[in-house]
This record gives sequence, C-alpha cells and structure tokens, in this order.
Amino acid sequence: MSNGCGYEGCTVGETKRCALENDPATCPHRVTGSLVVEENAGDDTIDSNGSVGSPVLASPVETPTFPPSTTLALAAIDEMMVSRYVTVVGILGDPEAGKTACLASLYLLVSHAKLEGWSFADSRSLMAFEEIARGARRWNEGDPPAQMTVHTEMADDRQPGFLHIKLRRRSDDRSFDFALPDLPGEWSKDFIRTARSDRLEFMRSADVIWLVSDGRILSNKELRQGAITRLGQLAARLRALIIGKMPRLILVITHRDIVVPAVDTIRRIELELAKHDLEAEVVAVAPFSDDPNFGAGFGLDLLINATVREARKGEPFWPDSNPSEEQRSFLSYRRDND
Amino acid sequence: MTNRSVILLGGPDSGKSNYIGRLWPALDAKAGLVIATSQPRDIGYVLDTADHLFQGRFAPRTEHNEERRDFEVPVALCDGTHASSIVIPDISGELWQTAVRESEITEDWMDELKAARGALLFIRVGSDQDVRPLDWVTSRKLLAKVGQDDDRDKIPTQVMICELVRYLELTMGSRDDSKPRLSVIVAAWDRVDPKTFDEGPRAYLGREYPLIAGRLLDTTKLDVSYFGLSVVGGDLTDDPEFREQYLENSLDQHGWVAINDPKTGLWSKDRDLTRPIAWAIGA
Repeated sequence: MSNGCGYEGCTVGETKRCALENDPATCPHRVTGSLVVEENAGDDTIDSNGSVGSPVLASPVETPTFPPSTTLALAAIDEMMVSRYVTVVGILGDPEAGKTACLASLYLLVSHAKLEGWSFADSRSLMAFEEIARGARRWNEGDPPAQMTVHTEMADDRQPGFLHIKLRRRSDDRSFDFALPDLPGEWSKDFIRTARSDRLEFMRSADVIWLVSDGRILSNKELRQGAITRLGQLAARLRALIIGKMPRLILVITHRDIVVPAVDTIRRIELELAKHDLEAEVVAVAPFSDDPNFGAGFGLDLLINATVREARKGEPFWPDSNPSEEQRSFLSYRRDND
Repeated sequence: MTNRSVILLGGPDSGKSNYIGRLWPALDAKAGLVIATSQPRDIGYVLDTADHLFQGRFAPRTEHNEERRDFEVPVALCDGTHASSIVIPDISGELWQTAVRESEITEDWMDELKAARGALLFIRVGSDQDVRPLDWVTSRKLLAKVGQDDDRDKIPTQVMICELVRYLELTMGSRDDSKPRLSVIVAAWDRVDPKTFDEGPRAYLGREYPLIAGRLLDTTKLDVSYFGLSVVGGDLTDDPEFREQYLENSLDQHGWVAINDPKTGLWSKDRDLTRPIAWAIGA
C-alpha cells in the first residue's frame, strides 16, 4: 500500500500508476485515506500511515524498575561497608584455574543447604550468582562441557565486579558478609607479566587473598615449574602493590577429585612465597567432581572457614597503659621532650 | 475507615487464587479473627473462584495477561474494632516471574507495593511449576544422561521468591512507619507427613528452599510469621474418598491453617482461615 492510500495492494507508491486506472489525484481511496489522517490529527491520536508531523512510533511506556541484583561495583561494596563489616576476598589465579568454578560451586552448595556448618542469609547479587551457575546448565546434548563455567569476561575492563553473599555460621549463629570478585584470569596474568595493577587496587583493602591454582597443572612435571614460578612472581607483585599489613593468603588448589597435591610441590610453593616474606594456608578443593569420595564442592567449607578464621582484628581500643616496673617512663618522657 | 491493601505474592501455581476463593466464605461466615462488615461491591471474581471449590475442584491456574482483579472487602476485627477495607489484588504468578526476570514492574503495581499494609507470600508443597536449583553438585552424571531440558533457563523458585522479598523490602519495607508484616504461607500443607507438620513450615522451607529460609531469617525490614494452609483440608484431585466426603458438607467445615503456639512452640490446626490476613494487617 502506498502512502496515504487505503486500498490494499495500491501500486502508485512504486510505479506511479494506479492498478485500478484511477487518477491518483482524485482516487477515492487516496482521498478517503487522507481524510482519515486529518480527523485523527485533530484528536491527537497517533497513527502510522505516514502523515506529516505525526510520531512514527508510539513512545515507549516507562515502567519503574527495581535495582537489579547483578554484580556490584566497588562503590556499592563501599556503601555496604559503611553499615557493617564486609570480608573482602581477592581472587587471583591463572585463566582456567577454577576461580569462577569455586564461586559457582559455593553458591550451589548453599542453595542446597550442603555447605557444612554454614547457611545462606542474603545476597545482593543473587541473579549474578544464578547467571554464573547457569553457565553449567548449557550442556551439549548430554555431554558435560570440559569447563563447567563460562570463561569470565568483563563488561567493564577497568573495574572489578563483585558478588556479595552473606552466610550464617551455624556454630555461633554469626553472619558474615563476603565480597567476592569474579575476575578474569587475564587480569592476574597481566598483573604478573606487566604489573598492571590499576584495576586490582581493591586488593589493598582485602582481608584475604585466594591464590587459585589448578591441581592438575601442579601435578604435571612439565607444567608445574612454570606454575610455581608464576605464583612466586604474583607474590612479589602483591608485595609491591600492598602497602602496610598484608592480607592473609590462602592457596586454593582445585581439582582435588582428580589429583592430590604433592607435599613436595606445596613445599616448593611455600619456599617460593617465602622469598617474598609471605606465607599461605593451603586448601585443596573440588568445585565439581565425578568421584564419589570427593563430592562436588569438597573443601569449600574449609575454604570459607579459613577465610573468616581470623577476620582481621583491629588495634585494641584502650591499649593497656599500666606502667611496667622496669620501664623508665619518666626518663623517656624527658628525653622525648628535649 | 482506612484502606489497607494486602498483596499476594508467589509463583505460578502457588495457591493464591484458591486462597482468595476460600477467604470470602470465611470472612462472610463471621466466625474468624477478621470478619466482613458488609458485602463488597464486586464479588464476581471470588464467586467464580469459589465455584470451583464448591464443585469439588481446585481453581485452575490464573491465566496469563488477564486483567488485574482486585478483591476489595470492608472488614473489621471480630470485636468490631479496626474497621478497614482490605484490597487484595490477585496477580498471576507469571507477572511476578516476569517482574523478577526483567526487574521491572508496571507503575500501578509499584504503587500498590509501596502503599501495601502487608503481604502474603505463597509457596505450595509439591507444585509441578516448582523449579529446583541446578543439582549437578550432587548428580552431575545423572544430568549428563538427561541432557538439555527446558528447565535449564528458568529461574529457580527459591531465587524468584528471594527477589520478591527484596522487592518488598525496597517498597513497603522502606517506609518509616511501623515494620510491615509478611505472612509466609505454605499451601497444600495437608500433604506433608506428621513429622514435617510438627516441625512447621519454617523448618520445611529450611530443608526444601534453603535460600528462602535464610533470607527470611535475615530480613530486618519485615516482620515475618509462618503459616501452613489447607484451603479445603485435603486433596480434591487425587483423593476421591476425601472429595466425596467434602461434597457432602458445606465449605465452611473444611480447610484449616496451621499455626504456632508461641508458648509451647507446637503447631496445630486452626479452623480460622483469616489468620494470615489478620497478621498481615497488623491485628
């Protein structure tokens, strides 16, 4: 139908000739069409038959929205920290070491009430967790994918996205807020290779850093030396990045269901970290598993326990100021004021 | 007289419509905590729903995209005080589902949520619309055999309910006046075994929907109370014997709410189906 003609199949718009052999200027179909337009224009109604001045599309209806529960930016974590203590965890490790897998497995364990000693209390980024976990839902005609989670890619390449989860500890009914960043392995890689640390600055205020390492690589004679060296270099970079008190380090070794980390390898990593005056607690985990002896999620409860074990204690509010007998405080006072 | 609206939330097939259908006869019988003071102007919708129950059937699922239907009824407490009018908008479970998926809701529903006095949250035992969380943590091999199915892209029921609770906190929970109340109703409570009944709906949620249970325990913006609900006191679909017996008597003699005695901590059946409403409007 051409512009302004009410007759279905009108050809004037394309061929400039009317198929009904009417004169386009006086054709009753066209004339009626334009009359309709004029009538509508008077009513302020929206029509789409191309009359001049009328809106082409109806304006979209604005629906109110709730703040989405996707990954949180640093500012949101800051805001949360104003009202309560949030345990910030830094998660570093090579690409495909299993960082996202740990997070997905943690989420699925709490959603089945299977995280030993802990239960779910709240999450400000529930849909983000759901999205990560759903990565594992897309199966290829029944074959589990080689990687259970989707490779992490950031929409914003300069800012980390945090997942928030609040867990309640059953033993004392205390709840802990965790801010867990889901970072691409490339960020760790760039940090090690070229010291690119602008987007990892939040590590300075982290309570704990998980150094995630693939257990299969650590048990492979050809690959392990490289992995151990990278961990050492990562430690050196952290030393340079973090001024003041170092967050506790936890070495998270994944794929516990397939390989048991060798004592010798762990000792070598410890030596490597010790070069930079650092030490790490070792937790072996299996976020996913086919081995019934090491069920999926094996070790994640230990990882969470280790993460909160020694939530950083503040300086004593009223430090003990009683003079000890041998202390010559008065002499020191005079010396200080000289 | 004040207008107090009570919002009904819950996924598809969670028992909202059946409750409304049963609620009007309960209010009209004037035997419960909350009684109807006069006949509402429009009862067509509740009568339609109740009709299914009268005939010994549960109401079919509320159709998608239907017009919003409010059930507005002037009520008072049984002693005649607290005269108010409650508006119970029935929203199809699909609408809530879409609201969670898009984190969007239409203007008038947003206004309803902000102005609501309280809310009733429905979860039904054994609903076929229930979406379980992904379970490859425990049964990866089994899942590999089943392969792709439609449920994979759906939001698990417990995640959806947690989001709805968050919406309530953001709307009516953010008002400065008194803490709004939320009645958590586990429907089809007649289907659970005696042990589960004695443990109560809260323990049931902790086992079946750990995220919801944890979330409700953690909220500081809502005052939560738990109820078990059976609108007719049995299963009309799968229990022909019960159905026969049910049709013999009037609807008033059927249905109960499981309530908790705060002193003894025991759960018992109470014939008064208006109790969740009474809690939600602050009585």
